[in-house]
Amino acid sequence: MKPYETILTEITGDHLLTVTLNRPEVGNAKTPGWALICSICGPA
Amino acid sequence: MGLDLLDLWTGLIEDPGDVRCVILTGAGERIFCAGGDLKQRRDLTPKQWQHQHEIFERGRDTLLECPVPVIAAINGHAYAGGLETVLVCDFAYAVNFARFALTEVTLGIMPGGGGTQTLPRVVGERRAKEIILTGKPFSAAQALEWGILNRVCEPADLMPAVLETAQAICDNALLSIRQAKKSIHNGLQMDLRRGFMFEIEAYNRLVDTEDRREGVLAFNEKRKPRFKGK
Repeated sequence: MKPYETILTEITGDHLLTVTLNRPEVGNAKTPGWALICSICGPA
Repeated sequence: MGLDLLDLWTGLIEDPGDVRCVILTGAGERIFCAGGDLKQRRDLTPKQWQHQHEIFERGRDTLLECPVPVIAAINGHAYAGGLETVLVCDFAYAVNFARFALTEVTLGIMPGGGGTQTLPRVVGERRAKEIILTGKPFSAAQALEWGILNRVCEPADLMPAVLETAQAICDNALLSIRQAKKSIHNGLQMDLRRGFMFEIEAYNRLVDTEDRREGVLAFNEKRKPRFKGK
């Protein structure tokens, strides 16, 4: 499993993947990370 | 986070590998997910806002289509998009102090991550209208009573309980799990007769599998089956 910037992924059992939303400093609020890809709107 | 989750769920759709169950939880001890980041959204243009939202919509759709069961382990409050994410998971356990809400109407928007569709399917139309139109929070006990949660736990008991359930799923036949999940989800979009037809198509794909032969053999030999996902 490849590493991510805002989520943690770890194998926590046989065939079991645990995904952790990992932005506790902002209540694990969702951001799109869209500045990485947005060529239409530009970065926020 | 939106792109990370989109990439994760897409990868699991394309190739789940040997992953048989996913637990989705949040870092920290108070909040599972607060929803969209309103500080970041404050200065967005409408075009930027909609583009951002599109990423969340794609993430929701890929989570919904993920062939691997996803259990939400709700370690704290789940508001707005956080609750909408919970509602797309296959089922959820939560800590007893967690509170839930779809607060969008208090912000001049409305649920757009699927909440107006998923919530009524879980709690019924009238309860969903009350939750969405007031924007008021409700407790884990209420979420349990209304069917949003399968279990409410003391904080220290949450992950052990979720891990136990997840491991039980992982120990079962992989292909059976995926076909059953698909049948339940898709069948609920159909009338009952078509649902039966969908189910038997899913069922018949399991008949000529090594795991079906192994399961029956192991039962007759009074031993634990060794499923290979084939």
